[in-house]
Amino acid sequence: MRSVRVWFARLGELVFKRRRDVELSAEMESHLQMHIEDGIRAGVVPEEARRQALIALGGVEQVKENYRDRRGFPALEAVIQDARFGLRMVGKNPGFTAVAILTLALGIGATTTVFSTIYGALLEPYPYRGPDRMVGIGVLGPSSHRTVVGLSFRQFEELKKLDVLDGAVAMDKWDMVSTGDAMPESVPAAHLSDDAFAYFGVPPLVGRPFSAASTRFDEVPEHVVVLSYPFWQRRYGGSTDVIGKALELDRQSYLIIGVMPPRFRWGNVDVYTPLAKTSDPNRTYLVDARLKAGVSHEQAEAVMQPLLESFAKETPSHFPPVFRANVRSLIDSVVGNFRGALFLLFGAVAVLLAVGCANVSILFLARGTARLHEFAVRAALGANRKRLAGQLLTESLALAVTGGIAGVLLAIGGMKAVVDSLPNDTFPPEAVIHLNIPVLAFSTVVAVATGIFFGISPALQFSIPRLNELMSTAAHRATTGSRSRRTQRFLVAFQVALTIVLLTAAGSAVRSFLALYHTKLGYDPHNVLTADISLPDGNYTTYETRAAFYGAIHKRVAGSPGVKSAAVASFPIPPGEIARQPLEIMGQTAEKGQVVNIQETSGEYFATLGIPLEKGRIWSVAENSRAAHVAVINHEMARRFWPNGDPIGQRIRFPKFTAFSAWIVAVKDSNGWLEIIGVVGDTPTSGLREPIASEAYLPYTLLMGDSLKLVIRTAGAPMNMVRAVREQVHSVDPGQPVAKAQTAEELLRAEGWAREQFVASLFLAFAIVALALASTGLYSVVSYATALRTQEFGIRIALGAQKAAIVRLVLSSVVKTVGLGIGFGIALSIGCKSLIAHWVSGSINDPIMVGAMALLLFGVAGVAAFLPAQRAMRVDPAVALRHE
Amino acid sequence: MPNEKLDVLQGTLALMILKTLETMGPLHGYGIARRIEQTSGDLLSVNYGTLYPALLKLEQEGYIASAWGVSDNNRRAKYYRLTSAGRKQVQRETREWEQTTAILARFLAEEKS
Repeated sequence: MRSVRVWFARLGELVFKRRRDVELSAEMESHLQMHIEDGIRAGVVPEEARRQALIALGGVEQVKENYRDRRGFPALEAVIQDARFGLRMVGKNPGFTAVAILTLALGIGATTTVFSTIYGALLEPYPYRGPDRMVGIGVLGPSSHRTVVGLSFRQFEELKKLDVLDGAVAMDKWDMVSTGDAMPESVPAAHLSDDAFAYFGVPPLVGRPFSAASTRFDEVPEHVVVLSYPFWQRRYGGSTDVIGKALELDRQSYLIIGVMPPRFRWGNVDVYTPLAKTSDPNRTYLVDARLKAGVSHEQAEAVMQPLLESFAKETPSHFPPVFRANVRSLIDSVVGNFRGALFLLFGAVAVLLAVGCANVSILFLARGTARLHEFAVRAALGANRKRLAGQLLTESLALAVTGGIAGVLLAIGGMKAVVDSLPNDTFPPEAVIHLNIPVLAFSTVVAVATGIFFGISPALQFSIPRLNELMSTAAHRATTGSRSRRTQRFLVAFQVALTIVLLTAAGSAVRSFLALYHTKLGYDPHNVLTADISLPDGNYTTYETRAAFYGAIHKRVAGSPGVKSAAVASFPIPPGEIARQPLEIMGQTAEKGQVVNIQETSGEYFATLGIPLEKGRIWSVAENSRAAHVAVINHEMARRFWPNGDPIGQRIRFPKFTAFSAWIVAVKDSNGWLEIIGVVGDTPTSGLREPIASEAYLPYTLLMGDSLKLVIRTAGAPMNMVRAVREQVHSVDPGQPVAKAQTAEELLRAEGWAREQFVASLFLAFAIVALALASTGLYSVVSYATALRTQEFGIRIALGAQKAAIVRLVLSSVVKTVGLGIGFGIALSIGCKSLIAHWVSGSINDPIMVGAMALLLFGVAGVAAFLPAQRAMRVDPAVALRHE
Repeated sequence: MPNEKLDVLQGTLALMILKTLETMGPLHGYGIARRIEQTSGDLLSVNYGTLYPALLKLEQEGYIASAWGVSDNNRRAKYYRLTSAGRKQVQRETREWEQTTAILARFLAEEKS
């Protein structure tokens, strides 16, 4: 209690400090006077009495000092004083301050931004239960080509019983059409097995999910629908009273029973409805499953293999002739080979943080060394070690905290920039990319702690017994601190090494992207629009009506103003989805599992995309409309099957090319013999990084699915044509929606170009930041260290050294340090070579790149050393000798 | 040791000040110092380097209070007086001190015998 009272009293005195000082002086004056008066009364002469009184009482200032220690909070006042002094020092060295703060800010900001992005996209992208154990089920066919297998509902139920699985879900995806409104709208829908929501383990935001056992075998499932969050927002403005309302889809009324939370985006669709449980073996579904904890992919594949083989016996057309079961984790299916590059980027981030920290520590160390003399003087004047450390602490704290705050702001801004610039489909739609607070905290703490630690390090190596030594050496700085200079040199070399590693890695990632960017497309994607026209269920079910409808739409669109040419194609823009078919060649025995890609197009396809015709001819409009049995093959297919002969006039056949399901119509002998009439150039159908595959193009009229894809070359900006295309389609059939219209360039970007581009730009931004950090760090340190040697140069010049000799001296020490760093860095990046090559293609040890970087770093260091040396030499030696 | 005066033992000055104020009533700093010196038979010397911080501490602890007044010779001076908390503190500290000296005395007596 007493101590609390004292505390308050002292606090009060802190406020009324000046008044208390005046009072104390008055009190002591009166004390002194009384003492003197007593002396006089005792018969001493006044001057003598005064002298005696002063002796008896001790020094007035000392009393005041003691008194002040007791009054208020001396420690607190010291902190305030330190802060004031610190701020003055900060203001006196704006360059140092700016570099320190900028370094900290960049280190924290860049690290956090990149890590948050990677974390959001890769480490924690899915809201589902056990997402890391969720896998897609597929098979590896001949030549290790992976395909997703479709299972019938019976097969799905059998698979689900496997011991290695912890639940499974079957999905069928097609676009439904919302009817009942003025304009029909295409609504992407996923039809899920009835216990799907229990499998995902995500409760709906509003309402309820459809539940298990709500549908019975071979009965039409309940007409209920669960909405996705974006659809709910877009169509209903997020109103909760949609539950219980009806939504008309494909002219049937569905009851809205629930809305999923924003991150539930399975299948990236608008609505979810229960899947029909059908015993029809030809209805197939995509199957995803969750492995039990501790089950490896290999174990799961081994268990699935015999089951899938027995399925293949039931429904041979759904499986390649030979295959191995393959499970692929959810994240791999989205991010693919990109994972490695992203982790590499993360490594680069960590290195960048290290570079930033090295930078800060070098700066603080150099400054601490420079101020050793100042501290020695203070210590000599009676400052104790605690107080010196305290002052350093406040100074470095002020810098580090300012840098930290700037870093946090930068991270927030950087995050916003990343989210804004993120192309669509780059990462799974479930991923929420936002600022990762623990990482922000971590990098801030690391950076700030580094600043503080190295900030007070001079005080750590400082002790009173060495005071004398310090005073004398500090006064003759020519020989100062060989130890701290060694530390400094080591740190500079370390930093240079890290920069080299960082830049070589970033450089190779950028180069691998550039290589990809220059992949030969084999066609011109500029000003190309694609439109997807999916038939509503139950429309144009006969061959004749469908052919007429497709033909009419094609003709209309091709004839509209602004359209240069239009074509029909099953997979409009390579790379994209592909269909693979077993191939037979007349007069050749087929190898086992001999398959090629097939594309169904109209004859205008090649001209529309600009795929060159190398040999022969393309089928005519008339041949197209009568579904002539002709084919055009690509260069690769001609090379592979007729390496020495002429493919033109040869006959090929796709035995499985028939109407294998209810929504496909075909001419009777669609799998009959086709005559090869032309050879066209290659396109990277299977993927930008994949080798070119053999490909055959057939007239689309041989076999037609329930969706028509148009490729349109426009005269102007392609997206401006979307409306015109829509109107043309509606003029043929007012009830027909146009689902997606995308430009070829957009599609290309989504096909990995987006991700590559995004990551490459992250890398590039990163490399620039790292280079800037390293350069500023190097510059400030080297120039600072050189400036400190002004006195030494003065002595040398006074002793008759030539200026050129001094320049040589300075440069040689820089070259040694930086050279050491570069050598170490190159060794390190060679050491990491296999590690990095594992993630990104492209050589990491590109001599030109490394050379350029080494040159740049040498240049920066050289300039940094040369300028202050030059300045020092221009100074009069006498001044330099006295230089503080 | 005729001219050698003892410095006030640490921790005892506070009690001396309080006791002085208890017997003498309100007094200024100089008066307190003189009174302590006199009571000690001029064996102790009190310099204001120790006196004023001690006074400040007691005031902060609430045992004494101060106010400006006028001295006998018409000089402005700060007068200190005991508060009621101070009065209790005198009793408590006196008791403690007596115990301590008694114990110490017994030890010293043992040494001699």
